[in-house]
Amino acid sequence: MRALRLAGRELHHQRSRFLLIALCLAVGFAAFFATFGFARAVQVGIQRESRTLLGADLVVRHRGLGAEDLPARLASLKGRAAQSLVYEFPTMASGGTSEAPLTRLVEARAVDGAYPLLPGLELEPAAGSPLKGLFVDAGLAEAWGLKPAAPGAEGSEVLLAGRRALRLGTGIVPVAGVIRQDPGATASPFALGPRVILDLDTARELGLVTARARLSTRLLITLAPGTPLESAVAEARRLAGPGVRVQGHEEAASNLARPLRNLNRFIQLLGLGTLLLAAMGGWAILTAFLEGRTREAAILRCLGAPPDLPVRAYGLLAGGLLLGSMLLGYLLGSTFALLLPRLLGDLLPASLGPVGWPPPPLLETAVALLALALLLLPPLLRLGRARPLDLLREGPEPRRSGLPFQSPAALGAALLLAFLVIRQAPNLRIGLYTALGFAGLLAVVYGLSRLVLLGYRRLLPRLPLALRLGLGQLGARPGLTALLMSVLGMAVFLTLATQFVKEDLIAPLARQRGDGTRANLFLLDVPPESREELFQQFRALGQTSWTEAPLVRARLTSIAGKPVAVRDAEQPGEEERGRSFRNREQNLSWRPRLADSERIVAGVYWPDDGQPRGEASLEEGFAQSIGARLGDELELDVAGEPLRATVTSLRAVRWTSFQLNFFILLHPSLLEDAPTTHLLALEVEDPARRARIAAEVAARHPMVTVVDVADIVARVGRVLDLVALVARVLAGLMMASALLVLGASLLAGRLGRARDLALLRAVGASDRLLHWSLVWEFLVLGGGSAALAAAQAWLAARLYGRHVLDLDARPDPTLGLLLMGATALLTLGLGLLASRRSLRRKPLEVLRSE
Amino acid sequence: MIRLANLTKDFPSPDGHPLRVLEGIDLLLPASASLAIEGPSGSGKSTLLGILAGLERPTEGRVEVAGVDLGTLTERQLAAFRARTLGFVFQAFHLLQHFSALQNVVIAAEIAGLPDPLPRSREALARVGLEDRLDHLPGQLSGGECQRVAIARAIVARPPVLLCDEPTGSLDPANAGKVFELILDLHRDLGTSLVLVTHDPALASRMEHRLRLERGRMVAA
Repeated sequence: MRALRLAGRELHHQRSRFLLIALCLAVGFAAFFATFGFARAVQVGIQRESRTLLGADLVVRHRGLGAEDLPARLASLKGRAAQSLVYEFPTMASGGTSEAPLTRLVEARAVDGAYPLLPGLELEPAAGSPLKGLFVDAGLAEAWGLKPAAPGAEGSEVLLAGRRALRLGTGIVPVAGVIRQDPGATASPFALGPRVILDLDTARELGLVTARARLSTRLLITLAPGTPLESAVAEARRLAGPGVRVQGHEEAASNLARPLRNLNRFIQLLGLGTLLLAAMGGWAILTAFLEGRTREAAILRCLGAPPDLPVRAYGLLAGGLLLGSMLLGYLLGSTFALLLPRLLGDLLPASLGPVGWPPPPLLETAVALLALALLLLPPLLRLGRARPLDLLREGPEPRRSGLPFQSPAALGAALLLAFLVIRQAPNLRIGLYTALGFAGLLAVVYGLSRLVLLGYRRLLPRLPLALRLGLGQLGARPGLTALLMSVLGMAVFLTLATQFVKEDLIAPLARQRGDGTRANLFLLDVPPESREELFQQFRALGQTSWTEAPLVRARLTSIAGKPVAVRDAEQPGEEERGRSFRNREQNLSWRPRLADSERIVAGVYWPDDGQPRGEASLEEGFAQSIGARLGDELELDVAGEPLRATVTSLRAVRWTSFQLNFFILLHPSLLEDAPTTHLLALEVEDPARRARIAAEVAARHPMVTVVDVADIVARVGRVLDLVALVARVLAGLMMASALLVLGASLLAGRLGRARDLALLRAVGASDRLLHWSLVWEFLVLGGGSAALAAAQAWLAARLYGRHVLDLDARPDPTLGLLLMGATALLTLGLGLLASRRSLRRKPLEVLRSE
Repeated sequence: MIRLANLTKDFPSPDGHPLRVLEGIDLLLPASASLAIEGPSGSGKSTLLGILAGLERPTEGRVEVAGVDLGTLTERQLAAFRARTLGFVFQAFHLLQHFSALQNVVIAAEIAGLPDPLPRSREALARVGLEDRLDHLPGQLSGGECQRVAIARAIVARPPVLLCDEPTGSLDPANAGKVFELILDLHRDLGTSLVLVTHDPALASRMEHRLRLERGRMVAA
């Protein structure tokens, strides 16, 4: 009770100061609650809307054709209510006139009469049942000025010129309407092109549903109410047999929304960064506050208070501050989480937007609070050890003794925070790396700043007086200073690293616009008989160079003598990637020698001697994912024919070179008689000529898919811009929170600063000298931490670019320098502002008050 | 020499009426002389010392220290005046906790603009008997040693005036005696004027002049 009264009295007398500290802390927590609230809501949205996103309860997938009997195979599925057969494939769509041609890659969905099985798809005008005709994405319709043709109209050049029809495959199809909402399509912002939906009969008439097309077959199934999904999925797997994939709606929707999920993970990672920041901020502020109470604790002891009274009283105050600011942060952050979807624009399907107030992430909050409690325990318990005699012995700042459990408490807190990071990661390995990354970052900033603060005394006599005084202030509380530098450093690091990585990702893509070394126009599924005609077309359009690779589609049946299905069963816990890589349709190619963008990392690539060899070369990452090693024999099914090859080399491929590269290369002698298509890559600098080539190819070779990389770059760039925008907003919040932490720490520890300033004034220091000492102090604090963090962010981006993106990334240091300067100036401004009152106080008033 | 003429100091009080803490103080202290300022708590002793140090400005009256009329100086000039003309010793030592004993003195020497601050600081510390404690932080020194550092800091620039605000108030009797003797020795050796605020009549009696304050008024000199 006494402790409560004491805490209440202090709170009442210093309410404005406490309010400010709580506000500073709340901003940090707000950033955390905002990111987590948003990400959690999107996750819940994906699960909740998974049926709508998928358009069914479960889906049976098959790459390519050859699964036409799927409906028959699944006909006996228990609890089956309805089913719909759907084919999805990218194809070229063109329109307009020959003078003003419009061409682009679209993602087509050819559907049978039962489609759609569930509500969610909005067409305008509403399609009849069964769905007939061609419906185009609203964005494409707007961009190309497409309008629905009159009902019953036949496809013709007139309709095409009037923008009421599109050329698809081998014919012209009138536009029946516009897709207003397609939940499944909007869940994937990285789609190759806009969606078009057409009925299956029309698609077949246009020659779109053929074995050559890059096509996937899906059988969508809805279940009768009350049918358990899991057992239905299990039975569907049994009925469907090998070579197909069966997924329930939650799993399928999660895959469908993978880019969104990845974006979410990224935001969650930033959220964790903000939580770490908030925790460190809370630690810094409350440590400064508690350390400033040592004198009061000693006085209370002088007055006869038991040792635990100051501990309990100030523990109550610190705990109250923490909980209050967390609550305030939750309110602020949740409001921001509600506004975040607006920032993301159409990246987020309307159906996934967070609805209502996001629930607080209880586990994360509790763990963070526990970690903070552990961190605050040492300075709190130190209050109980305040020795009254110290007051007489050393004046206003009694000696701070170390505590035996200080390091274990810090270690415990670090482990708790690491647990949060690992829990959030997609797998343990990434989680460990991320946690170690955070720990490394903090250790370097904290360690280096401690080192500087320990070492500066040696340099003291050689430094200007103002700088010495500034460093002295920083060195007076080396732990707190290092902590503040870590908080500032963390904010700078997250801001810069995000920007650097974004630049790493976008820069090589942007360079595709023809810098003389890389291709930017790709032609897929080129039949062998069309090659020469295409080459003539290229020459006629002024294009004299291109590269070419043959392509054969196949399926992996066994690796090192073990069937793929057995491997899948043996490794139930492995990453999705491995299973997916083994079971997908494989693109095989061959070439006599390696391309510029690849190098051998293990084994030997076959010699170009014309001799037949049963050898295969795998991309190293792919080999690791499917579990293949050097010397393993791969068995493949090529159009029903078995083919065997031994892995004799592993390659590292620089994918961002945009050259024609493959996971599996086979010796040319193995694929001589296999059904082959060709892949062509052209480098066309002039966008107009590129568009002309694409239009001509689409018009004369409707089965050839043309991919303009510039278009993809624009889409990826748009997504990355949005990601960067979100990251910048969050980084801004982090920066603000770090600066507020600084301000609050200065306020919390103002007493010592005021005393030193008063003393220096009493011994004759001028205003100018005192101001300069403060300028140096805050410049070193802000600039030093920003410099350390910027250097680390630069290094991290370089390593990430080199080892993860396989780029010789050299992030532009200008941004780092700018942010460093800005952080130094902001810290300086805020520091001077927070010290203004200390500077103004009369020296005698300060000195005599102690 | 210190000359005070009709010195008055008011402070604003919570009720809006000015609170008079010093009234009509007149004093003339010759150069190199010593003065004890005595009086009960709240009598204005420390305020008077602050005015002598140029840390407070009087409401009325004139203050002349070492031939300088403090009323004519700007804040910047006052700071320079303090650095070169005054040495200040506080009851609570007021050392910069994060600087060593030597650095505490060096900083004062540099603020005073001494050409060779380091040897002068070593010399000042040697004079107070701390030549073997140069690199110790205040937290590593005893109370008496801390006050000696504070005295070394006050005399490093050889100021003509030394102001001491109850310099032995925080020390045990043995240390208090030693510190007081040290101050007197320095006053004599360096020829500084010494102004000492004290409650202790025994110490006051060792000064050449005594000034007693009660409720802001001079009751004896």
